[in-house]
Amino acid sequence: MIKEDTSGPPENAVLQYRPVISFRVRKALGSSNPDWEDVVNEILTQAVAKIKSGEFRGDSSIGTFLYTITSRRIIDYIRQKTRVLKHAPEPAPYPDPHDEMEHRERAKQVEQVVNGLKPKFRDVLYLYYYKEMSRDEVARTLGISPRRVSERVNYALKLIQKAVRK
Amino acid sequence: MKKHRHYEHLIDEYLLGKLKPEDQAEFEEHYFICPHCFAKLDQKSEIVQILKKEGVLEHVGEACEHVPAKTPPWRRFLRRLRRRA
Repeated sequence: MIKEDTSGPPENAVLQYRPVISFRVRKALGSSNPDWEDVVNEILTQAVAKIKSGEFRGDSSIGTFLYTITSRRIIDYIRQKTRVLKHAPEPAPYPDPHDEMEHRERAKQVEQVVNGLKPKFRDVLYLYYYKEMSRDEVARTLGISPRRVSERVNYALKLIQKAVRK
Repeated sequence: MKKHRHYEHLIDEYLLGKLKPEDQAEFEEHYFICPHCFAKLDQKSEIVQILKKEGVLEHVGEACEHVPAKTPPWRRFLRRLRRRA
């Protein structure tokens, strides 16, 4: 569990959760949606205000409290957008060029590692992630055990993560 | 509370959008309070996205003898164009 900084102002405790809130919001809204940062800031502001007003009494952890606020805000955002889109479709969002470049660079690194893998590892990655088969389906297709599928996936991902972290 | 191991097994399915809504909600609530699982999820997230969407594995399917259906040439051409853009 995140060590909650309860000694200082509520902002400190809440701000520790910015990465996890950002992840959840980007996953729900799409990472190329330009609104995600505004939504995250709204959630953080709302959480601090609720703590200051005494609405958060500490019955649950701050993490659970923030999870609830985040989920509600995401639902509200999607509802609002659905209403707007009914009347006038919005233009496609423009991704941040810097983020795009970094992402493309990492995609190249991943591609290099994948190309260097033995076929037995590449095939598992292909069936599992690209074809989105379940572990059991991959196991049946390749004639190996589901446990062996997990081992191959984990081995390949470790190599990829190592290369991307460099 | 369920163990990290239980939730770690859900990471792939969560990222691939395969979890049932109730399991998804449980997993999301868990990673809000568990930095260990969130770190693993965060690490894997972009790699899975690249493997799934960026065409990195597309050519593997052509060489993989276990996969009967080949990607049509026009789709491969479009992917190449998208990657260059």
